[in-house]
Amino acid sequence: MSDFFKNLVYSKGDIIVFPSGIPGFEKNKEYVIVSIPEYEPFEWLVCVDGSRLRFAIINPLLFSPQYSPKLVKEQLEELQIEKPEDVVLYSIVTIRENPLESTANLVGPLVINKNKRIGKQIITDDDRYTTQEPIMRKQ
Amino acid sequence: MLVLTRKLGESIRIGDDIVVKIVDMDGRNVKLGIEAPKKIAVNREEIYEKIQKENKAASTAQEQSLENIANVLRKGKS
Repeated sequence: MSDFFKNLVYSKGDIIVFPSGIPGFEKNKEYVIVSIPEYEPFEWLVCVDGSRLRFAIINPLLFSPQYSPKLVKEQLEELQIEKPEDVVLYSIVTIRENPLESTANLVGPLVINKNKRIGKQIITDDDRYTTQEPIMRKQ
Repeated sequence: MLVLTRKLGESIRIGDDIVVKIVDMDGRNVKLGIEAPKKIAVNREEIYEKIQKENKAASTAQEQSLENIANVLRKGKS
């Protein structure tokens, strides 16, 4: 199963460009989102530049229904958003040694314009959230 | 690194549209006021570093472990 990253089939239109990369991986700019039933509700953000880089991601509203990060309009400019419906939010998941203690980053949501296929990790100045929000706390 | 000495109330200008002003000084703390176009993200360095560090930790995700929590999450739901 884990080899699906190697044999990933995708078309050019699936690629989401992160013009500035993401912090820590500034040079890796092209990704596709991969959904596989075994991992639901998680998905994978897989870099398609030949590196083996990939991140587990989740819709933060699934475990934090009230989540509404403060996003500054001007910081979204490079995403070229025309309609709010074009925007999807994800959080990057960090899997801990005890997987049940895994966390998601709510300070730096991934904001994606699914229509134009542009993405960005926005660092919010919002102290209601942490970079290590437990995913399982309400289970 | 450029190092400049500034007094309280004085500023430095970076390029055409960024101004950093010394707003207050109190013991070991200096309060900075930053005027910059809103599309330029101004973040505390330690928060940026924290995000970088978290991203690096997240990039080592194991498929098997994710499958395990995915199973638990789905069971919790049904």
